[in-house]
Amino acid sequence: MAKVVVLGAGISGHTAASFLKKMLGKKHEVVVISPNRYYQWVPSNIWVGVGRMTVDQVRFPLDKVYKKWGIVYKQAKALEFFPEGDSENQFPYVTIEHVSAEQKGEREKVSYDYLVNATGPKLNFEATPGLGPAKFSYSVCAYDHAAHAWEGLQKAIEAMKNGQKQRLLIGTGHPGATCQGAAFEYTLNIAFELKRKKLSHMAEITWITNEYELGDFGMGGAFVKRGGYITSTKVFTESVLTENNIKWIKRAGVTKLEEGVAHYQTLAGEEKTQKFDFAMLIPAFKGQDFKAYSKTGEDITAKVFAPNGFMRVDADYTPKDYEDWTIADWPQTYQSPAYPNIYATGIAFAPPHGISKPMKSPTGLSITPAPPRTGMPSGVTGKIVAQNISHFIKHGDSEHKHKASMGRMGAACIVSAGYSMTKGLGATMTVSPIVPDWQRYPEWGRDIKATVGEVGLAGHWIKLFLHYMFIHKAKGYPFWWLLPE
Amino acid sequence: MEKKTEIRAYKDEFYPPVPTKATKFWRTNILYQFYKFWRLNFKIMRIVVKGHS
Ligand SMILES: Cc1cc2nc3c(=O)[nH]c(=O)nc-3n(C[C@H](O)[C@H](O)[C@H](O)COP(=O)(O)OP(=O)(O)OC[C@H]3O[C@@H](n4cnc5c(N)ncnc54)[C@H](O)[C@@H]3O)c2cc1C
Repeated sequence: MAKVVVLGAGISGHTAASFLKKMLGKKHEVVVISPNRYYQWVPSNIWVGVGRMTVDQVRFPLDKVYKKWGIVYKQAKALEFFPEGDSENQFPYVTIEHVSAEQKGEREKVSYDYLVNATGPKLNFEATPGLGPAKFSYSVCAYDHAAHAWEGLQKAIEAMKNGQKQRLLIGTGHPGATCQGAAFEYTLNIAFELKRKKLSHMAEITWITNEYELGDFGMGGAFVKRGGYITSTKVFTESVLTENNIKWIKRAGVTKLEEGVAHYQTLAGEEKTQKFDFAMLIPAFKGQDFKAYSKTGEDITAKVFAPNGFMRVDADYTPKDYEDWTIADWPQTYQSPAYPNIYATGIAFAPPHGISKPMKSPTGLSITPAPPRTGMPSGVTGKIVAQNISHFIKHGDSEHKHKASMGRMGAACIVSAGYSMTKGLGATMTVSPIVPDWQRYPEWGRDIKATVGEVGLAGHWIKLFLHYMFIHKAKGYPFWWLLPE
Repeated sequence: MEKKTEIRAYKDEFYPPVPTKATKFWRTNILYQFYKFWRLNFKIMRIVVKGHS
């Protein structure tokens, strides 16, 4: 009997675990370790942040589903990797610390034949002094953060109703933050809700971003076919913001927050401030601060993980100039080069480099979005790793039959721009591939036929449909495995 | 009244395109958007299928 341990039960880990169990059946063991006892459909947190969905609409407890599937679930967080075992244990293992009320603080060694690290990002609020829900800004990166942001927004709305103008600042809270898409959606949803409440004139909404141009979204921008022209996402994004009367500050690296004030440096090197009454700023992401040790107890963290804490996989990490980046640098199997029975999927793998062109201010501050890893690649990488591991276990083979590279894979991003079944809006953006392939598509970097940028009610319906579809799939309801990632 | 940015022709500044009344109408026209819903879903599915090997 083989034992596969999956760390994390987000979009990627949950997908990996569900397919592993489906393909391996009762003969083999699948163990999921995750500190949060809930699965959350993260993209819908935006709607929690504007009071259009409750926390329980975007999450459900994992234990019931795992019991039904026969997956062993441990509500715990992984701490250390021992990929060679230690002097007493010949099998590789991870150390975990339980967080459930019954077992809180208990430590355990969990051995494995295969390990899938799908622990997503650590929200690095500490990288920007004053940033985060415990300090001076809000976040929508987790359902509890989004519920908290809604409380803050309600206070701002109350103030507007009482005749006090409010300054709302939304965007990126670190010079190297990613996830611009999520913050952008939140800005548009707030604008929509204020319009609905006839309070637009009482708010000054500002979009602050580390992007060189709007619409970069950490993927170096894109070109879309629109109205008989091929236009850039810069124009598309500026158009959407202008229409909603939202101001913007671009090329800005937020360096510090104080009560009601964001400090930022521009790419030109100027130190500036922006005042706010309500701010939702996305933090920098990093890996989960794991440690790794060899059999003799030597610290091998740097061998297994990149300096940003994400796990090294089959990417080409050789430092290269922007002009020399190619899609061949991006991983395809997500296998650790150091330990072939370890994989990292979703946000947990270390990208070889960015996608957007690196930019530095005269003071040397890097103001560049990190590459995004959205839901679809997170699900797809979880699934292909599950397929490959199942194949190895069942056939004793070691060839990766399934591959998925961000230089081949596309992404669909539905940017919600207002929640309503008849008046709602969503900007549907698709790009293929995610990482531009200038060799294959010398003109636009991507397949222009597959690239879409459209605003309309259909986008809202699609986003809502995806919400229900992915929750159906994650809950293991009938025919869940037929639904795509 | 919502205060809109004043846009004047010949001003040496860049202004992005803003939607016309007709564009806004079609964006929430149920029938047209129903068609768009299927069309966009089809486009998304093509990307999803291509992404798996
Ligand atoms: C507000 C918001 C909106 C978004 N909207 C979209 C969208 O519209 N479309 C889209 O494609 N993408 C969207 N994204 C991105 C998408 O949510 C991510 O790509 C996706 O969640 C990544 O999945 P993941 O499984 O890698 O990480 P996560 O979803 O972060 O899951 C990580 C898991 O690891 C667990 N974990 C953490 N630490 C440990 C540990 N030490 N040990 C064990 N387990 C651990 C966590 O509890 C969690 O279960 C959005 C993101 C945000 C924040």
